[in-house]
Amino acid sequence: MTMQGNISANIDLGQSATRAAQLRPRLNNQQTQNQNETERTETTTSSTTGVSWQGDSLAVDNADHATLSTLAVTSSQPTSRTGPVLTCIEAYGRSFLASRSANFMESALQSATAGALQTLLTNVFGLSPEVISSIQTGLTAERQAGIRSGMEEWARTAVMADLGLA
Amino acid sequence: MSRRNNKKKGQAKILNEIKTQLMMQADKWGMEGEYSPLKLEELKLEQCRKIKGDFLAERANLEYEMSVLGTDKKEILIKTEKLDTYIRKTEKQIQAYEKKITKILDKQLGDKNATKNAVSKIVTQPRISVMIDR
Repeated sequence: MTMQGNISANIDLGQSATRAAQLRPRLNNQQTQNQNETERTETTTSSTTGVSWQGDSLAVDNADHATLSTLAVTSSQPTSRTGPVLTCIEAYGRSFLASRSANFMESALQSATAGALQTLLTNVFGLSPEVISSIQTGLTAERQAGIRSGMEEWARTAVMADLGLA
Repeated sequence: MSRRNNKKKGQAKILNEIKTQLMMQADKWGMEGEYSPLKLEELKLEQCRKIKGDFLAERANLEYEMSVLGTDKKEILIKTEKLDTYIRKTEKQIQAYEKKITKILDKQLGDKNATKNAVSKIVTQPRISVMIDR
């Protein structure tokens, strides 16, 4: 699912996430049941419309709840490590993102880390405040786009539930 | 029956939880007030229309398959019938969302007549002047 990558780091590991994680096992059982049922029936998907059929019954390509709920407990991992500056920028980015956490302690700690890393980047590596600001803008825009697409997925799933298709 | 209700309740609970988390994140990332109840209903309406579009496209696809490719007609007819049911359901749902949006808007406007009067006082009426040459 494409959305997972976008929102994975969006969601806080606060109280609500813990509750969502608690809901997971129940869903996983449900999912396994659904999977077993799917295996029994032949699934055909229309390549043009994205609507898939399980035998004669309809199964529309939508974000299932289990996948959505897992978004609450996954977190992104750093990818590239090509040098100390990049590593420092990556660490700064992670701290900057985590500083908006719903958990107060986490937020305070990550804000302090981000501040320290910002000082390091400007004083030791010579990055200008404009560069730091552009990193912040980029990260914020990325996160906002993730939230928007997440909301769209949520709305689609809610509609599917209203239609009795979820 | 109760099992279905429980499933629905569970789904609603999870969806509500996800919505709460997303809205909390939206607030934290400078999108305060972007997701009002009205906006959420609009999002649902938009998605419902998209789903209806998908269903209509699938029906057209099935009709094409039946007329041109000559696949099993009985199976396709069953599928088309089911799709029609869902299209009707989607149309009803669209109407329900539209009704809900109108209700929210009406609530925001307050007294309709008072608003109309206020608007008529603020907005200047266009006047047409005619020059007659003698």
